[in-house]
Amino acid sequence: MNNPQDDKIAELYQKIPKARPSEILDARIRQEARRQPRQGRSLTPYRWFSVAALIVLSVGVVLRIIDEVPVEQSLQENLELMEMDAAPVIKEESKAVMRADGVTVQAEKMKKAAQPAAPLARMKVQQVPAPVESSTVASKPEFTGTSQAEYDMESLSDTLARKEAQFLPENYCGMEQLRGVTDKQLLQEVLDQLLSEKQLQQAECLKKLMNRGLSE
Amino acid sequence: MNDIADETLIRQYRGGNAAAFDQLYERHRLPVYNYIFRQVKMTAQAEDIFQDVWFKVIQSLHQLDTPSQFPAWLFTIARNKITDHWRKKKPEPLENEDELESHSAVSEQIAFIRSCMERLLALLQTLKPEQRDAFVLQQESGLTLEEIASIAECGRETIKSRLRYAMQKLRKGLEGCDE
Repeated sequence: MNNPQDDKIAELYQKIPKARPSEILDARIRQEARRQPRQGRSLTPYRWFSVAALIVLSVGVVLRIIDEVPVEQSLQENLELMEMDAAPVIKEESKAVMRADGVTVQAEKMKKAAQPAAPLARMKVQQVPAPVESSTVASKPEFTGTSQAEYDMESLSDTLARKEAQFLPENYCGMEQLRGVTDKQLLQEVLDQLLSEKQLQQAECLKKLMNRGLSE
Repeated sequence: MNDIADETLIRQYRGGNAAAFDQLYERHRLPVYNYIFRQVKMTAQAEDIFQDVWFKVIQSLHQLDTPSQFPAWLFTIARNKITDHWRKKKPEPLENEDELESHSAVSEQIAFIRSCMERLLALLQTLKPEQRDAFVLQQESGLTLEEIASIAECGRETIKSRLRYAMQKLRKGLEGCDE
């Protein structure tokens, strides 16, 4: 607006008395302004930061809880996964074992076969003691390409079978020192001791042994 | 107190200081009201629009990314509200200029200026709406051509052209007032 006439027009316009809103309207607007800061406070950067930090913390806690899911559960899940992974490897190995010379060798090879595919399962296999008695081993069902999980179950049942076998009368109820004892009174004392110690399974076994008169 | 920048007042208001809004409002209420009033010319309608504008400002102030550009933002809201108003309601016959009360005892010079003002106000109403809008916006807001162009959603040259035509008509109508 370089034209001097334009400046005069602008000057004249500025001289015109200003229209004014009513005082009631002014008061209403000011009142609204006082109400708003309390109602709808904006999320300043600091508040955004607080909210974000809270979310991150919550997520962290949740993840932590997820991580602490019972070991058995995650072990079971891992076993299921490894069952799928390990199956083909074990199958191939088991074929080779069939050409080898015995079940014990086969079991060993199965363990080795499981190692690269399933480290966790390997640990589990190592925890289970290897069969000692040839008769027990022989009674173990042959693996014909079973999965790692099945193999674990077999090993477990094998161990249990061996434990049970200890308490058979023909095995002197797991007490080798009874071999050759014929004194019924002595046997009765042992029986009483077992009962007092609440070793019921062994006591039951000893009863059977006494009834059969197997003390050779 | 009046020296506090709009930006600072906005920050204070956002922080919960309602008194900061009072200063902001006091600073801008008359330019905004007159900008609206010069367009709609009806007090009741002007007050309705004015209230809508400030309620919108209060509601949206925390979303304003650039508080330093508050005046341009404020007049943009005002202009949008005026546009909404005209969309809903077609322009009505103008009210008589009642703001310039007649005083019998005024001097001849004052009477002359008064008559020029009345002519200017009357001439404003003869301008095309977009020319009047550009002129009043420039006079009331004190914004730059670029800012006015941004508010009016057109180019700088368009605004310059509107202002030029507006001034031509006003100059013609106000002949004799520049003495």
